Amino acid sequence: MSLLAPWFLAGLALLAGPIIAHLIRRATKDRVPFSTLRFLNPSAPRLDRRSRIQHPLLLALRCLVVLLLALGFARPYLRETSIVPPATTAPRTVAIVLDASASLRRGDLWEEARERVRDVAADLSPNDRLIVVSAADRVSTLLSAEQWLNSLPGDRASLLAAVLDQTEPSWGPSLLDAAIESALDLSREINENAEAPGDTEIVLVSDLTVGSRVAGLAGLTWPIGTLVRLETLASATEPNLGLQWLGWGADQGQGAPARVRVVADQRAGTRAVTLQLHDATTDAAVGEPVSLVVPAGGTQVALVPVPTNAPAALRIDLSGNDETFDNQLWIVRDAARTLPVHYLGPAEAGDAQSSRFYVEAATMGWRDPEPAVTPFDPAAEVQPALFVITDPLAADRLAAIRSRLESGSFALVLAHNGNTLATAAALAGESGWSAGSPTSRAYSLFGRVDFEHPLFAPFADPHYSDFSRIRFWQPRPITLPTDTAATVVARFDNDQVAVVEVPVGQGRLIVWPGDWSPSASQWILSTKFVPWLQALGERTVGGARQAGVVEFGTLTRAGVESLTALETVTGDSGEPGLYRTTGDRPRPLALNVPAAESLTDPMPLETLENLGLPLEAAVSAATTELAERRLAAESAAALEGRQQVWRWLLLLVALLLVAESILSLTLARRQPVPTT
Amino acid sequence: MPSSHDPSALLAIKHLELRARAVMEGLKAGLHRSPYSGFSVEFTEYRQYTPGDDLRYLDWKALARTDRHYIKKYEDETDLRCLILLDTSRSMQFGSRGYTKLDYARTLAATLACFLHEQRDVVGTALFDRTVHHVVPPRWRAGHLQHVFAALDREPAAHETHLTQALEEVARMCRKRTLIFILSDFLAPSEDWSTALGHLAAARHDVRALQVIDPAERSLEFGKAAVWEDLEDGRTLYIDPAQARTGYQQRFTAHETALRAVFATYGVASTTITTDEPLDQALIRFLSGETVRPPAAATP
Repeated sequence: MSLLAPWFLAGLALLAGPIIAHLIRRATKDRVPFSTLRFLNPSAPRLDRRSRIQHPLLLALRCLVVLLLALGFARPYLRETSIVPPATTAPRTVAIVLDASASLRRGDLWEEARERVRDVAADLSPNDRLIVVSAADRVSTLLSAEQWLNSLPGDRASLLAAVLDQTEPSWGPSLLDAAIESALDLSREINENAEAPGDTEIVLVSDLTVGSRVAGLAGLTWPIGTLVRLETLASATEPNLGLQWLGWGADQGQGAPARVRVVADQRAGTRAVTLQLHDATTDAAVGEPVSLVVPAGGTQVALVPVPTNAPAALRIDLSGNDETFDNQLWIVRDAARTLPVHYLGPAEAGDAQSSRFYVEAATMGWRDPEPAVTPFDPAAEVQPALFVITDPLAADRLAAIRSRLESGSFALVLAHNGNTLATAAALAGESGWSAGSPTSRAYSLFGRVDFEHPLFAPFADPHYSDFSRIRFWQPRPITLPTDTAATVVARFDNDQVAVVEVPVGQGRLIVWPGDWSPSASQWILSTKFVPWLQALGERTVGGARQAGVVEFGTLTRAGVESLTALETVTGDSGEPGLYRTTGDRPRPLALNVPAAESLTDPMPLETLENLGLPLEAAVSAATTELAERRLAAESAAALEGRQQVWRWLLLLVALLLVAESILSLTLARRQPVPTT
Repeated sequence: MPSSHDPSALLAIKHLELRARAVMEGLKAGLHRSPYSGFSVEFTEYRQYTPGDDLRYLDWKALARTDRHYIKKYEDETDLRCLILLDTSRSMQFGSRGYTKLDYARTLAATLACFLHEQRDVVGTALFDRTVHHVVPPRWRAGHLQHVFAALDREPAAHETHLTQALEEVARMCRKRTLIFILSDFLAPSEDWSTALGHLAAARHDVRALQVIDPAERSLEFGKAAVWEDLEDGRTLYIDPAQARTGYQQRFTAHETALRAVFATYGVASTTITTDEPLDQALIRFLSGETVRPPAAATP
């Protein structure tokens, strides 16, 4: 017999209670009343050891009750040899998370990583399920449990070797959190579908540097029976320094210096390094090298001067660092974008009552794109421009502007009368547009605004979507034909059309039913006018500027979905280097090793512990023993829960209590009680 | 002849009067065979009724038989009064047989009162412990006996015994010559109260003592080795009865001897009754003169 909670046997100390009670009771608790003690002399106390304990049978019963109660609380159970913890017999699910980030390119780390994976697989029993997931800039399943189980046990090693041979470390970041979560989901799915779900072990094969992303593990729920084992790669690697792109100097124009941060490992010691600018395409050195000293575990920011005649695509090489995978930084200077703004209307430039005044004021100070309010010259070079039209146009200008619209320009028509609306309809290439008389309402407000449309998308956030304080005095109602290609982007609160956009070729025509003068509406005086106009300007020149220097894993910042949407300019595809985007407006793009991958100091184990990982890794003999004990305790608890010996003990206690009551009652009745 | 009742069975009857009447039956039967002639009442003669006589004494049976009015004349019919003095102190609340000495003694007193009343004695009662705390004066009137029963049936206040003071108070109460029955265990040292008893006897009262004791008080065949508590003063002693028995019996016998000497000194007739004795037998023994009679010369 074994006990699940043997510490309750300390309750046996309570046995002293009834024993002492039986001794004390005999002593002098009883009092015999007598009529007078005048004729009595006190007797000497008589010691009779044999009868010190009164009612031994009663005492035995009471002691037995205490004994059984203590035993019951200790939760006894009978050991059965057939009981083996189910966890040891059920097949396990082992999910290997293989770190394939850029930092694995150091030394022999990748070879060691593959060896560790093979070792883990070799320790599995035939029924165990194996999943291999790689963690780089994206998570991919290298080997699924189905593939593993469907192959013969003898073929599994070669299957795994083939998978590993096809895998190379990427140039991307180490998204360990996403990979572990993915492995956990796969394991959970397998366990849910399995007849005999077993424990899950997630084996993390990684160099586990501080640059690995693990923050996402904080909110993860770990199923019961899941353990994480760390297989930290320990191959000898050199101390590392890395480059981080901080952007161009204050003035982004020609000659602006490149701002670079050099990051050093704790192990690196204080190092003197050199930064040299190169032409990205010809590999020729550009300018003078920059020397700087980086302290161990510290950073140093350098301004690398860029000659004014330097090409747009450059590369900065770091010398003085033995680990070479992150010694190059590819950069691209963004080309300046200009936006010609052509105002076609009657008002003078300085008239505060005209729309032109406000358009010019609103476009002042824009850096990207740089606006230039100029008269329209049909003979000038064709480039995307913004037309602001407030007056009806002559036929020749109308045709020229329509031609520009078709090639990608944008036009904004302020249709404050029927003729201007007719011009807008002509630009749209539609007929049947008509303008009605202004209503008698004192003012109108925006009623419905399509915040999903690019015109108003900047105001989609609820913080900025309040248009209810902008009044429009007597806007002219516009009626559109049913077969129009125009999209009504906004309507007034009386359902009258407020803003219309019509696609014209590659360009767009925006029609606003009314003037922008302060006497017609509060629109140009509102805080929304300038951002709205700037968003329109950016849209005209191809949208908001995208980053030109990005890292693997952050391609979306450059507006690129994946590497397949890029053309290589230098080097091979998939490696750091110079690329060019595909599409209507191709632009150069520099792709680099993630800066986090350069942070190769080992990650403290406490970081993972604090994130709540059920670590088996820091695995010492003590923890293994603890785990075994816990397993044994769990199986003992299951056994005890099934046998429930304590219930029988409690029943016995109840019977004994009844017997004790009867016996003590009988003894009490036998006792002569004097009458007083 | 009705058989005598076992005291424990009799004392199980809650109602005191019923107990007394039950004892009375045995008592009457027993007294027929005894030369008992009563304490105070003695029939002397008939005389012719004259208007103004108390009709209570008219012999109605003689009137029915002869159609003449006769008045029964009794000797000392108004002189002798009976007072039953009952000890209700704490020592009387001891009993080893399922009832206390007080239960036994109050049944004796009630029976005695009933008996005296039936033979036309004027009977009263006084209850005492450290003082006389309740008195029903001797009277002759309807319902008086019920008053006596009610007084005897009162629950005691549980005080210690002070026989001297009680006897002195009785002496002050009884101006006329009175037949006084003292029902007590007389466990207090006789030298404490003998003087007061002497004063009572010297006042021409007829004092008779009924010592009521428990058999265990005489033999000490009782209890176990434990702490014994004196019911009178609450004093405690560790007593092993097996050890203490011999010495106790000697001292108790000496006490009884001294007690009888005191009663003899003052001409007080005394009877010792143990509570295991049937009550009627005890009363018969008491009434028929099986008492320790004092020598005539001792009466003052």
